[in-house]
Amino acid sequence: MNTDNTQAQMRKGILEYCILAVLSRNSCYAIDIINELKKAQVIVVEGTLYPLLTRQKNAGLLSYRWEESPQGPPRKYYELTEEGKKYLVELDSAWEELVTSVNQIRGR
Amino acid sequence: MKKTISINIAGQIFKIDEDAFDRLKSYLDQITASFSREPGGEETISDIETRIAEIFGGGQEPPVVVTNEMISEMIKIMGAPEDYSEENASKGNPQHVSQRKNIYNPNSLNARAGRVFSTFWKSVGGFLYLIFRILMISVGSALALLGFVTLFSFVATFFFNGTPLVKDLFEPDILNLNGLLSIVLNSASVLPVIILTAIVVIIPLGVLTYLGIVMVFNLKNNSKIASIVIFSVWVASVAVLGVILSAKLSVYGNHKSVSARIELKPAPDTIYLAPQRKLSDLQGFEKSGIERICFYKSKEYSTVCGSPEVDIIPSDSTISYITIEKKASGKSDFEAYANVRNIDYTYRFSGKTLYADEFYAVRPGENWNGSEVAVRIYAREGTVIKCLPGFDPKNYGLMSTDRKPPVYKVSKEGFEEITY
Repeated sequence: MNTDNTQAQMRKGILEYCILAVLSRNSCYAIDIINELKKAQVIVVEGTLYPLLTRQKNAGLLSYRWEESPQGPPRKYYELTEEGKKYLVELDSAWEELVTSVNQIRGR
Repeated sequence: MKKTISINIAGQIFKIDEDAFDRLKSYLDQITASFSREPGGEETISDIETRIAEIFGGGQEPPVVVTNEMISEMIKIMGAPEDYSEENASKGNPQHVSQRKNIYNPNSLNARAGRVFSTFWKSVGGFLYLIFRILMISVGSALALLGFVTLFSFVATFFFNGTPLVKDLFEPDILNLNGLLSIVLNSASVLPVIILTAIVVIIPLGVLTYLGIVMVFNLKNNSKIASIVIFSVWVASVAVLGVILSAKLSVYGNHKSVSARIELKPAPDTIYLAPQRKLSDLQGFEKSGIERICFYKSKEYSTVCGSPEVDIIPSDSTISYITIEKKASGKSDFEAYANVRNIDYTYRFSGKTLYADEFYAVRPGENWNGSEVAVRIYAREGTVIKCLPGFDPKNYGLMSTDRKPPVYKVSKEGFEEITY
């Protein structure tokens, strides 16, 4: 059985959580988020990120501000809202539980 | 040298090869189609375009010339349109592609004209969309209504025919569908044929109704797997039904008939009709049929019987005569003739009276093979034809009022029931 699809589904499930986690450290330009996610091999192509950012912004988890760019148009810098921070705490907790549960099942 | 045109992506001017332009436009159109109906979709599209402009190295003077290789590199970074989101990719709506305005050629329109056109196009686009929706609702309503009414009619006639309410609603009047099918099919095939026929008919009608509802309410259909499964079931049902029916219906490939003629000399002024073997003799037979064409089948002996047809026709000469024609089908001419010979139907003309069976029977153990019996009375104009007591004209396909026994008189055009 091919594990690629399962892995893709796993990544997809945690992608939104990872975006919030990246932004919890400091406000970021979309490329910064992408670089972090690429480095962690959670994302492969950049296009996946933009609809998620819009969705999270519409859900009130993120906000953004415009900053001038040294070249080209101004850039959007995203940051967590208060609601987003609370949401991330809940996700952190859920993640810990999930990891514990999976490890328990795996016998570690 | 390749022709280049100027384009505007996210507010930045680029030169682009003509063939690369088509590719980029197609890419952006697909992205737009994917996101334009999503909440915040315009913002997502704008972010993506900004990033694409950045990848192309926008903001330089003179403007960067975008090539096919650069577009390939951009797609490698951003991903193909279907990579953006599985969910969004499946919700793409091409009707919004034409509303896209972020990419245009300033060589043909200056910026002000573009804005005027943009405003105009927004209004026209809105109006066209309104017309489109009205059209969709009208067509959808018609489809849903047609599909539902036909579906309801089919289910009612196919499964509930003969029940008190449905009986008087639909034509043709089918009596005992199971029995009717068992006349032409062997008993084991009846239920599978009913189920397969129901699937073959109900699925398209159901889909028609569903499509109408989708069009009216502008619903989105994401159940591709269900659609594939339903379509596969339908195709398989059609195939199996086709195989079963073609095997069974090959019996009706060749049709033959044999006639007998009885001369009436001298031509009588009155001809009497009397029954010979009567339907009431068929004890334990199950009745089925469509309209007045009735069949009777004995489960015990597996014998199929049918109703003969009697017709009265004005003779074009001074003589009167009667013909008895037996017809049957078979896989070959030989078999068809054999089936004709095997039709069991008795009659005789004695004095002025025609004695004729109320039913004919095919060879015991065989299904109906297209057999028919037609009795035609060719009589001179003015001849009176009287049904004797016990002769029920309805069992011979003859018209009559409720008055019994009926009397007919041959006229120039045909015959009419008369009152003495």
